[in-house]
Amino acid sequence: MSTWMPWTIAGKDFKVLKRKRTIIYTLIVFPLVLAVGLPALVWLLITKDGVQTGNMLPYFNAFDFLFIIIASLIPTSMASYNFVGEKVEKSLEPLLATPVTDNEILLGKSIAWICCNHRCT
Amino acid sequence: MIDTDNLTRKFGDVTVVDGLTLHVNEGEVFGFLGPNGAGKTTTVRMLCCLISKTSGEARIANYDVGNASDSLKIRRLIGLVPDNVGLYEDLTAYENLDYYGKLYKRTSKQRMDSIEYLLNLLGLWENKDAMVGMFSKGMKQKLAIARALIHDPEILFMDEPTANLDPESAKTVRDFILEMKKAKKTIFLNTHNLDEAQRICDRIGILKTKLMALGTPAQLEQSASGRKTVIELRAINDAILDALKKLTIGKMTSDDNRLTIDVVNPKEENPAIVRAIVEAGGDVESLSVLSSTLEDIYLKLVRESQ
Repeated sequence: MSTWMPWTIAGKDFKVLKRKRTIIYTLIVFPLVLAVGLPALVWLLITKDGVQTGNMLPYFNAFDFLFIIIASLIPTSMASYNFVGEKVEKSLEPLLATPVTDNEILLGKSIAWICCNHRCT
Repeated sequence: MIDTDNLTRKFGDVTVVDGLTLHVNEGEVFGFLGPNGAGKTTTVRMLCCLISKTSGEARIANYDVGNASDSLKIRRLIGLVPDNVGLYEDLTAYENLDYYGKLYKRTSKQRMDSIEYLLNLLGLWENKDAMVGMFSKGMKQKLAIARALIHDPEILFMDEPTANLDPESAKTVRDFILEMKKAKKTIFLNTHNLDEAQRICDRIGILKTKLMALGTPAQLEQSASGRKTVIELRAINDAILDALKKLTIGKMTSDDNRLTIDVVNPKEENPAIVRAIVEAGGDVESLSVLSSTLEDIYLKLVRESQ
């Protein structure tokens, strides 16, 4: 397996990603809702009942696991979207007709979305 | 260059390609004709190692299509223009070609030179930095052809490259195929367009799950039972019809003062026919030979297979 071929595929995916606003918004909005929206909602509900802010910290910590879920969910769902996208846009057939192995394609797609997820989280 | 021997592909119980045996020579433009669902695209997909064969053999430049290690070598030799262009619409024309150049391990210099040459040849150089999503169908088709040629392949598979194109774009693509023909590229052309096949292809195969006919356009047109002699007479009478019936000629029909006779070899049969008519007292006003067109042969074969 060529070492730089997956990076070529990942590089192309990065370029496409940067230009697809719907994907960028999805990657920003979902973590933002979990990181800011939900804690803000909890904070509002609790302070409404007159609870001290210091007593709220365990509740905020409860959201930590959501970030782990995001970190595992987004790259897999986005990578699968990437394959489905290639299939839908009919670009998979010409790609598979090139001398690139299936492993190189899989690795390239994974690199793109793992790096992308890392930046978002 | 391309050899298949009894190549068969089934999807479940349905046989899509049945026992296809053909040979395409190096530098030849081979046209593959057939109605929708005839198995043309499936054949191309098998030959491009995109799907596996059910049985039979296929070799490209002596590499075995069914062999996993050979399939990568085959993919380096071939270029594919699929029926759906499959370009990245969020990338520019240049970026699309550059990406494929990298996948074929072309150096930076080679990629730059090839892209400039191909985009200029296809009249797309001015649009090299435009997003492909903004391109017309014809421009996308031309770009897909450029993509297939980015690594200067020896064999080019084209699946209906002029389908859905306006006449001007279709002509540009056809002219480009003729340029490739001059450059001695082996081209495997799937098409519905009989006129296109007749003008471009060295040989034509007609497929309807099975290979129905194979030969040069001229050979197919001159296939037996394909010619008719039409004779206009001042008047037709029983003496003329009786005289013609004595000759060993094909099916004869008369309509008003016109006789239509099926002939195998017009040069040999027509003088005898005219002599018989004249000796029976007939006056020949005109005589013409109608050859079967490729369309006639195609329709006849496809209808027979149904």
